Amino acid sequence: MNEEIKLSWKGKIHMSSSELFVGRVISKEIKNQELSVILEGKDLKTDRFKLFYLDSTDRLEDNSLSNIKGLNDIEIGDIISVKNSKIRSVYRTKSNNNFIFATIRCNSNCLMCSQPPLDVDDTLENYLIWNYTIDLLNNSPRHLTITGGEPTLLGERLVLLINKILDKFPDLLITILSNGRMLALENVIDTLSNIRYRKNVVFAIPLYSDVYKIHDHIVQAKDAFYQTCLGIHKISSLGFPVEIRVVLHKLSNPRLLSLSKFIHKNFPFVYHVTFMGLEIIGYTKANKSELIEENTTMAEENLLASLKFLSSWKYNVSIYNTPLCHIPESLWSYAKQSISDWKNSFKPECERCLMKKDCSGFFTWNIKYAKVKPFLEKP
Amino acid sequence: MEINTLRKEFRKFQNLEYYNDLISNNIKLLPFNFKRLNSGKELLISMVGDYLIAPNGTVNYLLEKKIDKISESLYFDLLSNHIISDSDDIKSLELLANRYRAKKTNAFNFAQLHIFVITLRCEHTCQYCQVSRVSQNKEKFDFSHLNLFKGINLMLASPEKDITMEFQGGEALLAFDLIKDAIAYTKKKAKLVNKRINYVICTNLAPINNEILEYCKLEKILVSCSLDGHEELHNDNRKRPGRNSYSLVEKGLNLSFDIVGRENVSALMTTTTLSLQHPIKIIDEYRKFGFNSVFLRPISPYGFATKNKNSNYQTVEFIKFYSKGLDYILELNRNGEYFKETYTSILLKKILTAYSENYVDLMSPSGLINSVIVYDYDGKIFLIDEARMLAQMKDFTFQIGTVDDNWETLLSNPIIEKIGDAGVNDYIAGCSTCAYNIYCGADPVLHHATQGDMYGFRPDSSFCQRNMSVLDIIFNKIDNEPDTLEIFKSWVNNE
Ligand code: SF4
Ligand code: SF4
Repeated sequence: MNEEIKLSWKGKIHMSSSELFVGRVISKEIKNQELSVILEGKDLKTDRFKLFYLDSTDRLEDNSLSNIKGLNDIEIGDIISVKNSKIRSVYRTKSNNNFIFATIRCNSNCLMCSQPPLDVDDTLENYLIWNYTIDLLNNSPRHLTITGGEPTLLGERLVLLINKILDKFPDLLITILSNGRMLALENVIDTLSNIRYRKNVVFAIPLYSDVYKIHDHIVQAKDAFYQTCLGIHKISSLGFPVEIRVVLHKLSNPRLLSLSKFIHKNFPFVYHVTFMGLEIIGYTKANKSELIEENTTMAEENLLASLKFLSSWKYNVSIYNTPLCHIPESLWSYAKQSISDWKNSFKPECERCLMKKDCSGFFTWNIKYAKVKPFLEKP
Repeated sequence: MEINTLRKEFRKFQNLEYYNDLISNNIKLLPFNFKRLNSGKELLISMVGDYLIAPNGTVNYLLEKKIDKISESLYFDLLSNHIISDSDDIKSLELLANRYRAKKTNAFNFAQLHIFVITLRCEHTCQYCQVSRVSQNKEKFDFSHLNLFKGINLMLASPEKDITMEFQGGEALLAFDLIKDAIAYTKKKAKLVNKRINYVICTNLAPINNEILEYCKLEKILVSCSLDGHEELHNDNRKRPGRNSYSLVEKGLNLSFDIVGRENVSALMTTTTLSLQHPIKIIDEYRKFGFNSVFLRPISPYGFATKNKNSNYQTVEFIKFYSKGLDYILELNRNGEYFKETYTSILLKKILTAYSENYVDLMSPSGLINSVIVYDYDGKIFLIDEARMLAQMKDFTFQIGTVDDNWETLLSNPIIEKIGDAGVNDYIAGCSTCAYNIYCGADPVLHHATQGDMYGFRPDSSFCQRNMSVLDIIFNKIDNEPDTLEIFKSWVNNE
């Protein structure tokens, strides 16, 4: 996980008998600028209830982690997991955009991956954490995203989690961020067909080109294009809504309009097409020269033509995570503020900008590279 | 492995060439058809109906595998429009299968339109009509209650859940009481088998009155009327004592708009020789009544319609008429008025979207059986409305039985197998290599009637001539007039 997002912390373990603990924050105290947090929950291996202590100072007590930096983000009601000396925030009660982190594994390896995958089997662990987290939830999340890695690698367990949380909160809307490749497989489709609330579960699937090799190159996986295309057909024919996500960068920009036409002809049933700004984090940093667009005029023209094409065919289209001063005014009506609460940041110059209240700002981790042109007069 | 070494392992990225399936220019052609446009450019159409307009010479380069002569962006377009494949194993095969199925979904349906010729009686003696009778003899020319209910039972025993029941004539409203009985019976029975029925009454509007319209409103019945054009033309085409057909339509339409609402009233025209000179007047007539579409419809070249001097014209003349009308309509749209031509719109939906339109003449496999069934006043069952005209001339080829039969007997009629063969244009001589076959139909009935052979001979088939010409007009416009494409889109989108 990324340090910037403050979703994981490390500390010094002391006398813990649990291998994997999940609990809810029941108290948070600040004394002399030192923080101590008490969790109430369960050791998932032994199925025993207990308390767990997190501290920013040294604390020598059973079931505790000490010397943790930057715990301030934690709030009462949050759900936290502890494994060895590592703490992860599982559920944030105040957030609009909670997510199930299904696995760090992925069958693709996209050039611009913000969350680079690892070949570690964490699927059982993540399942156990969320299986218990759902029990701990008192209120429905406003929205839930299932992400990874590739969530469908969770298989049957993904279905169990989705059915369990939707049994409890039948009005909840879930978005699964899947690369769609596994969905081309009949057995995966069979498994997913056991999800009981299909209309509540949107599959948000990325497609970066209408040409197989460009897409395969971007996601660094052979035949990924054909698998994803077929996956989109198959998951949609089960009745799940499908959203197509396109990340804008130097490799996807040139054929953006052709991709939009391809979507119209091959996936006319999609309920939303979203264009997203590039996140300069994870792999992107390593592939900057390949990904960062220099020909911004061409990119803007193609984006505008694509949005016009898709909306003329009545598709629901949006641009996410792109600040208003980076796109021509004609595209503003498509620009959405990101639903996530921890991704948006602004530069100091933005304070002077008249458009700030309508602007999505930047991914926090893009700020370093970002240039802004504040609007000082009403455009 | 340590996490950090794993990270490094993952960071070895491959370049674009690594993902290229193409080995030494050895491209594979997927099934596609092509045609030259007026501009000299080539129109390539894939097996699922995605079209591409490419520079002169493209097809040749593809055939000769001279892909170095093709620009990279065109090459990518050819790939993504399913015209070529880079590898031997066509990896998009299942995707294409789904697309093809979507384009042909109508073939998986059974008839949704069930036409009941409730009476043959009519007070009009229209130029092109060959079946109606001016008569008071209800016994002889109306559906008997017994046959009517048998027909309805058959309709309700057919597989579709959503059914349109259309009452035709003669003049259907001369048998209004019978229609009421039919609807009452259908409503009662449909509930038991859980089907939704929409009702349509086709009428010349002469007998329409408040009572009938109030009933239509109550039962949510759509009113479909005949309107051939301006007063003089309409009265010439649609003869009746007093020569007042037009004024009756005018009165009837306004009354219908008032009572059942505009959205529940539609009008249909038939083109006679007299109409050919007046495309613009006809369109203006439709606009005058507030309609925002017109269906420029040629006469069915069957039976004694073709023997009448005002019904006998060449397809070329019709195409001139259509083309003039279409240009006028496009001009209206350019000036901000939404108005569409229905036949063009049906084709456009097939051209511009992944889907199709359920229009019986333009289907392959042909729309017989899977689109419409006709119950004639005397209990005969036909595959299509036009078959009644053939029957009038003692040709019963397309009669599959009577209301006394059950579906098993009706559908085991040998004609159905023949249609299964002659109704698929993918392998009809002429059509199989035609650029337009994915958008076009087969129409075995028309070819049987006009050429004595259900497969037909395309070089002098009026069906082929009409569709080829209309599609040529459409594609040359798409090629040359970018603003027309936007208008076309708005027609498909219905707004
Ligand atoms: S200057 Fe800042 S607030 Fe204004 S449009 Fe740019 S990013 Fe948004
Ligand atoms: S009927 Fe004519 S236009 Fe239609 S597919 Fe056959 S050859 Fe082509």
